[in-house]
Amino acid sequence: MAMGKNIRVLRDIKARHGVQANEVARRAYLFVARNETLPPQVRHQAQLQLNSFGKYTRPTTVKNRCTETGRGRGIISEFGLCRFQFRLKALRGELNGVQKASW
Amino acid sequence: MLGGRLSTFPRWLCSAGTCLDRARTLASVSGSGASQQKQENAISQPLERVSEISLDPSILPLRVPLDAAKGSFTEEQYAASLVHGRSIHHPFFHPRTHNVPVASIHFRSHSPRQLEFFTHFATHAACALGIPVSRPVMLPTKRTLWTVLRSPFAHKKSQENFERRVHKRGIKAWDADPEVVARWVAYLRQHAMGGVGMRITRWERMPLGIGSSHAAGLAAGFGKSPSASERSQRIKTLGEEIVKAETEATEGSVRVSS
Repeated sequence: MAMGKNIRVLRDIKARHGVQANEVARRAYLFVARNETLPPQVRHQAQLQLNSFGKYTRPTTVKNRCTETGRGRGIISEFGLCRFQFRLKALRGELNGVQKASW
Repeated sequence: MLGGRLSTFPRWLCSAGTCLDRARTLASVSGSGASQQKQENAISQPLERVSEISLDPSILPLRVPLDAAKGSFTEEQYAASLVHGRSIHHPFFHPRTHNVPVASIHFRSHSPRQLEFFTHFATHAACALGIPVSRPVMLPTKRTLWTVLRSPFAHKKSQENFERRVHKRGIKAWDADPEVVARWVAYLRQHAMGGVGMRITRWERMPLGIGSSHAAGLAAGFGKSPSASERSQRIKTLGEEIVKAETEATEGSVRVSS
């Protein structure tokens, strides 16, 4: 496994699976909870249902991580790498067309 | 010796090697002493500069027509009957007749030399098929820049710059039959070069009355909901079901509590 296999990466994978599995139901409850034409009691119930979903079903828990090291900051999303791995790979010539520049 | 001398040439001129080989074959095949002398002189000329090769036609081999009465000939004799070395020159660009655009091909690559080679190949292929094409046009180069820290941690002052350039060329084609253009495109696809991308846009003339038949087809398929809104529709229906269930539940609970 090339990817850094630390707990943050595993957590992110779990979150991605959870979000995918519950996306439609969550958004349906959101639709009800934010619909101002519905009675307040119904909207409140929907909001309570929303809160009962687990924390790994929220789309905001998904974070892009470095595919080599699992680092969560400084990701260059086009390559899915953190800045240091990007530099190493670019210098090794593993990224197509990327070369050193100066200006 | 020959190979060593040619290795200093740019890659796209490699067909010059074939040209010289053919010149030798030609000299050995042709019986006349005068032409042999001429060919030998041509070979012994110093080929230091690219411009000399591409500009001086006297060093290119002469054509030896095949004797059809003989019937059989070797592959070498057949090769000597062709004019070699044409591929390093520009092709003859056919003039446009009706100015009707039929295709536009964009080439893109990280390497301008590969791009130049392949556009040269594409223009030669088009001109050999008799398609009026434009010369390869330079399109804007896309340059993507990154600046990253050299170190894995801290040391903000020490950074490094990287870039990626995507060079682009365009070739337009006019007036050719759709089938010929399809052949050209298929030929380019078959001999596609690694590291060079192609984006092909083709335009074809539609038959008369296409508008009414198209409108009929649209009317037939108008009842179906587009796929883009299917998702939101699904969410809405599910939401309505939840509303229904929740209102029933609350009404039930109110009845029980009262």
